[in-house]
Amino acid sequence: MLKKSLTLALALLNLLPSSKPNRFKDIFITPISDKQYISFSFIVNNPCDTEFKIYVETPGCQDTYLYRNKVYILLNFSDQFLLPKEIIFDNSCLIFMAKSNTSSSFLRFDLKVQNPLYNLNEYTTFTMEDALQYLDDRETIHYAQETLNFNNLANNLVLSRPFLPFSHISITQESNFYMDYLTFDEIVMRILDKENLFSLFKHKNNYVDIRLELEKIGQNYKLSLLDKLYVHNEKLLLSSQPKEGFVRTNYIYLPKNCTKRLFKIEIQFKNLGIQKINCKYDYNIEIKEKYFGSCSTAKHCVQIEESLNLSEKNKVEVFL
Amino acid sequence: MIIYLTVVLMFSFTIMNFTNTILYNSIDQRFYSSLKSTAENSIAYDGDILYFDKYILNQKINKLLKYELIDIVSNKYYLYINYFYGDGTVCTYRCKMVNIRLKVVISSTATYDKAYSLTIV
Repeated sequence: MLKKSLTLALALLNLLPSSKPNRFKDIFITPISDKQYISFSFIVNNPCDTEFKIYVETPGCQDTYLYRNKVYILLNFSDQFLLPKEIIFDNSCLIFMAKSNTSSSFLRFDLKVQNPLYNLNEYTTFTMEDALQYLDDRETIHYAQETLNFNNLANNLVLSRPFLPFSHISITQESNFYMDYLTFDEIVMRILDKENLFSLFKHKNNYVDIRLELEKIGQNYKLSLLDKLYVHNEKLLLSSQPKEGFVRTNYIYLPKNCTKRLFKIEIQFKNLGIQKINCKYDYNIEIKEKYFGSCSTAKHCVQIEESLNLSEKNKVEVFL
Repeated sequence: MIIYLTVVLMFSFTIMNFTNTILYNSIDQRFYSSLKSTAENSIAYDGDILYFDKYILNQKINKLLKYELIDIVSNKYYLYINYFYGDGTVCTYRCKMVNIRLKVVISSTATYDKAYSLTIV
């Protein structure tokens, strides 16, 4: 009797419209980046006695499957699966299916693949109307738009400073989906250094790589150093490792004895924003005059003159 | 005899004076010629302003004296280093102006005593 009552109660619970059995939630689909495997995660309600299937259809969603898999959700209500990048093409469809005796769900997402490496010297604005596809609690797919704007991109900078600038670039993100931070996988500043001015850094094909990150200032994002850098106060020599005589710095200094005037810089952005943009920005920096040196060629110098001040204060011991 | 002694004394004084002048000029030339580069190599930069690093400058001036004036026979060297701000008031931190005075007793009758003022402009 007790067993029958319990079965009846459970059956009634399952029939209540508010319980929304076998439904997916927390699925967020963004463009596919250049990773080897792509991970999708999701959460389901009431997974008992339900069969879950995941498909990837050919571009155009023509019922030809590139990938098919059954998912078994036992105790956990959430799961994730990995897809090899090779089977995903631009405009492929990702299908989530759930089927039980009482209900079924069918969700179809369009997949975007971000292949090109954009050149910021040519394009400075990137807009995607369906950059993000996500589910609400009623299992409806919504589309979020994203626009990324790169500002202050100059191809040539003429300066009189003893360091290489990168924080002049600013990025703005506009989206109808709330994001508290502009995401990225990696931002690298690459400095061509054939002269070995950054002698304490590892060089790869004559390039020194320094990792950067994004810092939110008001509505804009600026670049700042992710790698910790240390500078020798006297020689202005830069190091990525703390050493005796070196202090932390937020600048990419040029050594004091540097005579090089023209620097080629490249900044690479990997999987930036919801759109997962891959782009690079090349620029030249011309150091107009030496920051410190002789008074005829440098911005700053030491002037020496005979003094009448024969004070006997602050005697310094002489060791000969 | 008196005339002879006077001539010898005058000759000795002239020679001594001549030697002292040569030594004086030699010290000055060697000290002055290296002082500017020594001061330049003691400049630090904090990302905002250039300034003399006191500790490094003191060390480097000592090295300069050691290498440049080692052959000057004197055991009396006096060095005074005073830092100033641009307006002439005494400076304690991130100083752009330094007054370096070197006093070397060459002989009982002659002393090299000269000061140089160096300013970062």
